[in-house]
Amino acid sequence: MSPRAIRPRKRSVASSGASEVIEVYIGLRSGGWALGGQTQAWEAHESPALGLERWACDIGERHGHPWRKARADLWLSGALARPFLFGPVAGIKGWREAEVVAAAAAPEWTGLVGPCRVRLEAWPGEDSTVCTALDASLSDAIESIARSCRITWRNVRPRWSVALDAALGKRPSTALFAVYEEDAFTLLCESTSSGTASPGMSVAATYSPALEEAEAKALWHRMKISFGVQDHDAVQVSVSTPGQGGSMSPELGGSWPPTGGAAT
Amino acid sequence: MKRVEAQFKPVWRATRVALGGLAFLTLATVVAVGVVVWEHGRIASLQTRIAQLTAERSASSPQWTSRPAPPYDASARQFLRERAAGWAPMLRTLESGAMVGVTPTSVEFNAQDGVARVRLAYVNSEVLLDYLERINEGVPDAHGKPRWVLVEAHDDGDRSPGSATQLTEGRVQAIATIQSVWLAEPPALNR
Repeated sequence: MSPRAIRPRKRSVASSGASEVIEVYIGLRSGGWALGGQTQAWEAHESPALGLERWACDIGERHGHPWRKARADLWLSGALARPFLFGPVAGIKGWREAEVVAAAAAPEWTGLVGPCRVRLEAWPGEDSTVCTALDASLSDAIESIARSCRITWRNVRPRWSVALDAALGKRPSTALFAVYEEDAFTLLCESTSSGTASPGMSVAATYSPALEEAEAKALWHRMKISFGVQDHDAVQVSVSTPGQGGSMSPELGGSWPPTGGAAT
Repeated sequence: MKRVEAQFKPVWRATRVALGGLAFLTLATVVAVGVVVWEHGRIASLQTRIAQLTAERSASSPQWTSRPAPPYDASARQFLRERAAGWAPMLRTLESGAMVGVTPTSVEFNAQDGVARVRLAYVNSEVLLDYLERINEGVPDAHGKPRWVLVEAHDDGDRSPGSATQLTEGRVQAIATIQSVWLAEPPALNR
């Protein structure tokens, strides 16, 4: 199957900055929700599913109607939705099979425990591609909570992918991208060195728990040197959250809610 | 670097309620279509049956003809005509015009044509004319002319027995005949 077979996907609504968008952020240990860019609630939780259920039902009660469900974007932290490079894998016959193989490989590559659901960004037959893994039980919980709390998810995406959209919007030549979150440090790198056979993604990984600041900076510099990334093509985003008390690196920017997010 | 979609939005799946609703709608549609088809078939068969019965009736039953008049029809019509005839107004005019010297001796009334014929005995012509004038007063005919007309009068001056002039109660009287027409509404006879 050819990579062209991938269906075109619409651009996220969240990145358009709608004023009355309901956004839910769920991390490994805390989460909350915002309405129109204003944080409505933020609290630590025992498990992502419990936190998500609490906020979803809160949103459903406050913004749902008897005849219409509340619509919200769900952003997942890098610790929950982790990217990894998958493939190339020869002999795969279809997307379904590719996803099954990727899901089987996901725990080993991402460190997630238990069965995973994956999303492939391209056909993994000829080249490696970015694949994002999510715990299957959390994926099921997201679906069942939406039904029970009368809420419709407009988007269920990793927070880092939304930040990447914003970064690419401001700087299309971005080759090295890192997102700092409370519970994860996600790194994506595209090789720009001359002589590289393929211009595709070279690194896609999430470090959870998040690296210490010194470790993160060291890794950042190693990546820049290893893959020949210029400073102006390297973008770091720190997603500060109300529970975090500020960004890891003040100069990196980033904010919660993501509609007000900044990339440097 | 390309953007990463990583969209985990749940794919819409039909819930039990949605499936039940869909099944119900499908069933309702099937039933409705079935009812419509059945009703069309029933109407077509009824129309065929009606056409068949109409053809059979026109082929087998005799043409509708008017009922023959019963044997008493003429008598009944005559009876009704006489009942409806203007007896009363005719007799009232005779009574209202009663005077000395003129005596109605017979009254004939033909209900068929409404003609009343009265024989009068009178003493002289003046009295007879006065009488005519009195009974014609207030009862003109349909054309505004006097209703009672003098048909004949016999007064040849011969007062001998057997002549047209008769002796009544010791007085010699002449005989005259007057007549009038009292047409009534034609009698209605329900059939």
